Amino acid sequence: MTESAISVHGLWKVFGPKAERIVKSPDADLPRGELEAKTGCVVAMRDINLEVAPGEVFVVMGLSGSGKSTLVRCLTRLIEPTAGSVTISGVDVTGADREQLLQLRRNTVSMVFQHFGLLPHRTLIDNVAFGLEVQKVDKAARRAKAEEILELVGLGGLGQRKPDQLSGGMQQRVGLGRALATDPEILLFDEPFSALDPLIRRDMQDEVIRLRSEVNKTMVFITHDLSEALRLGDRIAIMRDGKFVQVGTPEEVVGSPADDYVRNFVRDVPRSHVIAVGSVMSAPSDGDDAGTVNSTTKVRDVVPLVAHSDLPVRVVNDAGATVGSIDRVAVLSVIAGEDLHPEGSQGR
Amino acid sequence: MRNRFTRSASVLTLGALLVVATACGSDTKAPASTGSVAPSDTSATTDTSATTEAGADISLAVNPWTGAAVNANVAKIVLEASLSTKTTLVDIDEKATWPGLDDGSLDAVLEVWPSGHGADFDTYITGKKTVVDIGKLGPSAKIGWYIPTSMLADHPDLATWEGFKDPANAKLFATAESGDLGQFLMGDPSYVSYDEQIIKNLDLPLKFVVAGSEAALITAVQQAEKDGTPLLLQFWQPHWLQSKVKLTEVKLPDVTDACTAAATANDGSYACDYPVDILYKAASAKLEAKNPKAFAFLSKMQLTTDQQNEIAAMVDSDGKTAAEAAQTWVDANPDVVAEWLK
Amino acid sequence: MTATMPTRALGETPSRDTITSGHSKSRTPLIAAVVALAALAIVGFTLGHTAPTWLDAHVRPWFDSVYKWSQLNNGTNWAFRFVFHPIADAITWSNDKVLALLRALRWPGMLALTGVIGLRTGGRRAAITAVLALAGCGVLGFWDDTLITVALMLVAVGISLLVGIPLGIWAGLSLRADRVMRTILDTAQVMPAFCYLLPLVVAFGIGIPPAVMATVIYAIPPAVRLTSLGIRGVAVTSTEVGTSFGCTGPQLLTKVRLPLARRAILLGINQVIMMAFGVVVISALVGTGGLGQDVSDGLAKVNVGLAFAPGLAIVFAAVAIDRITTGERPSRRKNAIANQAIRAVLDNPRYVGAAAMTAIVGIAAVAKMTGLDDFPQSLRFDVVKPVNSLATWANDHLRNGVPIVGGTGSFSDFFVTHLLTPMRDLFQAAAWWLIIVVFAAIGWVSGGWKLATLCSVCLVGIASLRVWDLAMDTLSQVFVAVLLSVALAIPIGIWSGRSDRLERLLRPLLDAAQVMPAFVYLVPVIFLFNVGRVPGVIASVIYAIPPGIRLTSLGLRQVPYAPREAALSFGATGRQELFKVQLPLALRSIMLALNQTIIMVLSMVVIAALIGGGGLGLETVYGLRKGETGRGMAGGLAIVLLAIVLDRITQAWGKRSSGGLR
Ligand SMILES: Nc1ncnc2c1ncn2[C@@H]1O[C@H](COP(=O)(O)OP(=O)(O)OP(=O)(O)O)[C@@H](O)[C@H]1O
Ligand SMILES: [Mg+2]
Repeated sequence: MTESAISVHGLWKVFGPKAERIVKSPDADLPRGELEAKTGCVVAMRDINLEVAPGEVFVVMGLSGSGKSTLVRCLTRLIEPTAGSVTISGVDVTGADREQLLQLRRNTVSMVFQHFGLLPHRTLIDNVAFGLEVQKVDKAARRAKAEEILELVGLGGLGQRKPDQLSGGMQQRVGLGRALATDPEILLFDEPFSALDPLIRRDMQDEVIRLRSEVNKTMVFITHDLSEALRLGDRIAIMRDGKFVQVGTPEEVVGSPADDYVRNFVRDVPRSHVIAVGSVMSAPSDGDDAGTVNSTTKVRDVVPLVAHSDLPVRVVNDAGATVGSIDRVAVLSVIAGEDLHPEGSQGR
Repeated sequence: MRNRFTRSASVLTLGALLVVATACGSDTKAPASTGSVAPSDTSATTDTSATTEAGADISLAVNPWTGAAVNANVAKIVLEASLSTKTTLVDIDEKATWPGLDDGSLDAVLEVWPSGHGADFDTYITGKKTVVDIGKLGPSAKIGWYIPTSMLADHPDLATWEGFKDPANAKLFATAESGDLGQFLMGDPSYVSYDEQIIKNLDLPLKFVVAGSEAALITAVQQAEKDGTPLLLQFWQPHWLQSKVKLTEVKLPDVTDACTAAATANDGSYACDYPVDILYKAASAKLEAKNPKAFAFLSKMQLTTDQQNEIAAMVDSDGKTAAEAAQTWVDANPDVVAEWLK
Repeated sequence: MTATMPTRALGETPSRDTITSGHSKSRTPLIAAVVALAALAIVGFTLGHTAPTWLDAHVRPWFDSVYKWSQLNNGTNWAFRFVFHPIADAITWSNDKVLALLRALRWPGMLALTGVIGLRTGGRRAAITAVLALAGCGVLGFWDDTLITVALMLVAVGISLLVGIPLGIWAGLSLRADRVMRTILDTAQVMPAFCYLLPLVVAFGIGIPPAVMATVIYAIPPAVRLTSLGIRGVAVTSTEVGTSFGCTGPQLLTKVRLPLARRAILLGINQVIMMAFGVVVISALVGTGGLGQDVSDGLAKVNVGLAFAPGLAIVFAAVAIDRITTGERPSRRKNAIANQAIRAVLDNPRYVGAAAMTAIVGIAAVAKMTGLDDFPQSLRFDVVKPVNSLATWANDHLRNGVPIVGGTGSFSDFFVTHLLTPMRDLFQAAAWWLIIVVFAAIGWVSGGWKLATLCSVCLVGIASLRVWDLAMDTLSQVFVAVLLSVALAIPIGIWSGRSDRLERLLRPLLDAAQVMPAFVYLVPVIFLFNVGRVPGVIASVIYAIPPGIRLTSLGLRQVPYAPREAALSFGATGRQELFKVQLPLALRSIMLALNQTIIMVLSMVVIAALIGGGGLGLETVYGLRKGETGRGMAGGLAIVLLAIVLDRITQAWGKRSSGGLR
């Protein structure tokens, strides 16, 4: 396995007085209200472990207050973690001194914020150039770069405007541009699109997908919108009360929720849109087939094939070798939500 | 953009203005005061044709009453015309005058009422010796109890303090503030006052009320005059109001040695009239070395009570400025001035 | 002078208004407390006497000895020679330079400069108002005195900002610094200048330096408070953005925090200037000359008109400076595209700066050549006579013999005998500890045990200053003045909050009432109400109602439209809308108005003493006028302690009423 872009071990964040005492103590398991009454502390994040590979898009999901923002801020110590360690691109963030931390924030990691976080007193150009300005890049160079970035996010020529003259969607493009301007290896998104209307949100998601394929950045993406998570994520972590309750690929999360909380979360997702043929196929059959599909094809996309034939569909891997088959019954049961192949999943 | 604009614009403008200021600031009409104090009455004419060589500039304190302004303006005219000493007059509070004399930023004050400045005398004149007593001004002053003269017609016994023993008489002076007792009104708290002690020790049915300022006291007097209402107050001579409103001093027990002792001991047993205040002049100890001629002149300068009243009347009654009144008087009395310069 | 009200009001960070602790949960302790108080009251009045001598903290002799020591050593001690005197020299130097500059501009140049700054900062309207107001100073015949005063003001304001803004930044970044500074600022604001003027003279010499220092002490609080408020008000997201891109502390400050706090800081600057105008007259006592001296002269002659004219000039100067320092320029968004070419020129600092500079220099030069030194005699207008005849008329007609009410004189007597005296007697008859217990109880009910402790500590402090009876006298007057002010300010404020017309009509009056030195109306007030406590109360009311009216009106105007609309949709009448929606929602602001009124009344205690108010104010007058520094300081500190008690209690009410808003 290659070195992780981000690696987190046993990370805790407790807000309140004498926070260190709470970590790993029996108190930490008290219900939130009781703990707060007893110690005045709130556990926002407990014992988080996670590895994000370079180029991966890692999505964190959870309800409001579950600790997502806390997690993403602890990664670059915008919030000081109470316990645990974070390593980013080989740099021990939790042990870093001031200088290292500044370098990390300036060059390695950028963040896109929920309510855009544009600085209202600066023009768009100056907003985008902010990261470079902080690095003391000279004015001409940073302006040039910022112009280029504005062009990239589709706001060319609007550089002299102030943020309050833009719509929400445009503002977040600036936010995105600002994060890209320093050319970081890692992008952190904290619910970047939750304040946007559905159409613009979709647009912006496409933008992220495009980015990902074009510039291949590592991303940690916070959202509480499941469909967004499923669209963007290579892996998804579901957070509840500061803990990860499940970490897995979209299929794993949708196909085999770890508990009722997760199940509730994913209940309304059409499973056939998420689950790949490979995870519900049976052993290869020898007879004729109705067609051939790749094992990563979503179940939904097999429907036209099985609809017109009683024969099963052959499933091949990327190399073209047959790895299994899927028939009409299997497809229908995915769509109906029943699990006819218990041995193929990791459910309870 | 906006920010930077405003900044640059103001910097530019200010820079330019500074240039202008240095270019033509030096010869503006109103001479920029270079001392720490602003001049008053710079309009007084200056006769620079004097024979003596110029002495160091000096500044004189002007305390807030007509007499003080009159003395200082007379001195200024003589200093500038005859001693070629440029003189600045500084309007300043009585108490703040002394630290000014102490550090030499004021050179002299020409009318000190001793009763109010015992502590300053001790600190600066006999203590630090940074201020020197340069002799009497001439007039003397007297604090006392006063009532409107018109009251004596109906109440002749109020001419002396004994008349106030009668509660019915005292009650004439009652106000809402004094309740059942008669009101005794005191003005500016900075003036010396034995009134509370006198009232107590003479056992008079009066209540001591502080008006808080001379302006308040004068307003009360004018109001009483207008309405014909009784008023008992602490007041003094000389004062411009004396010529506008008829007031009569109430006779208090004569000053005795015991009284003087009580005043010094400050033991609360004072029970007689106020002593006469002999007004004096004080100068900074540095003045003699700095401008000996001015020092000699200021030490010698004296006005009689009549002379001071004459000049003050031009201000208070004829509406002249203190500078104009002083000029008029100096022009009319060259011999008096010559005497000071001998 | 601005729509938002000054000073302390804004010192409170909105985010801090957490719901107070659980003391209001149950009524039982309240009832118990009432019973206990009743019992205490019986004991308290039978054993009633003033604070005991064993509480004496010997504050007076201590201050006296420090003062005496300074008097004797100010020529030799290093602190004076190497700290105070150089500062004094620097102040004198800057003042001379600024004044020379103002004079060199001559009146046409000054007016042009004012106009240009006004155009830049507030648009055409502000520029015109400011120029007219400043010209008004000349019309009244006080051009040069105005320059003297403005120069002093500029130096004092400069120092206040130089010191105040960094302190404000510090307080904005550190909660602890904020807390410490708050107490110091409260003291600076309420402590009467009379207490420290003479010590300042001993330290800095006479003339401009002590006057500037006194002005700085009095005017610096809003600079610190509003800067701190602005820094604190910067959204967490914004600072987080800064940090996430690797800003160092200083970068975060200069690139994010300060620019975002700009509006608050500008408001602070404006408030500093307005406060500075508040001490013009007092600072003239140490020999500065200028408009303050003119007011004093008028007062010394007991001539209403003579004092009023320079007072009006002070108002004009304040209005001029206010208008060119408050205006947010009207938004340029609308015609941004239309006039792009013109804008490109107009927005270029080099062009505009250069043009403005040239114009002003040109005007000044022309003025110099054509001998336009003095403000033209032909433009002068004499207000002394009309004002005096108005005063005489009021004196003749309002004092006595007004039908039914009887006139101001009898009103005053009624007030003294039926309100002020009984209340003072009540406060003074109660045992000192009983008063403390009562205030502690009020504190506890309003804000929990912390506030109760604070109240007790402050009142014990007053007792230890040996001014208990005087403090009770002052308290009774403050009480009456506040009642009167509130009774006037809140209805007027409500009315003006609902009527744009009235608001516009009131604005200049309120501006004037706030900036006009109280010394100006002391004499007319005595004319009407006789020497004593009533004129003091009246003067305090005049001074205290403007912020009361403003804050009430502002509160009403700030009520969002949505809930009002909801009420209207249910068929509420105008009255119902007012009483059921607007007033409850504006309660917080109205509480703030009460709080401000109290502070304003307390800051007038000294002035009241100059016309017969007595009490603590008179003590501080002794401090200056008789050189009894210890006595003055004791009085001044007692006023401060009283102010802290009343301020914190009313602030707690304000916070509680915010509960209704959520
Ligand atoms: N500064 C703080 N002090 C105390 N508690 C805090 C603080 N910041 C966050 N919390 C608590 O920590 C918990 C996690 O907060 P966090 O902001 O990480 O949630 P979130 O998952 O991002 O929620 P949302 O979806 O609403 O943004 C919450 O219960 C919150 O109340
Ligand atoms: Mg969040």
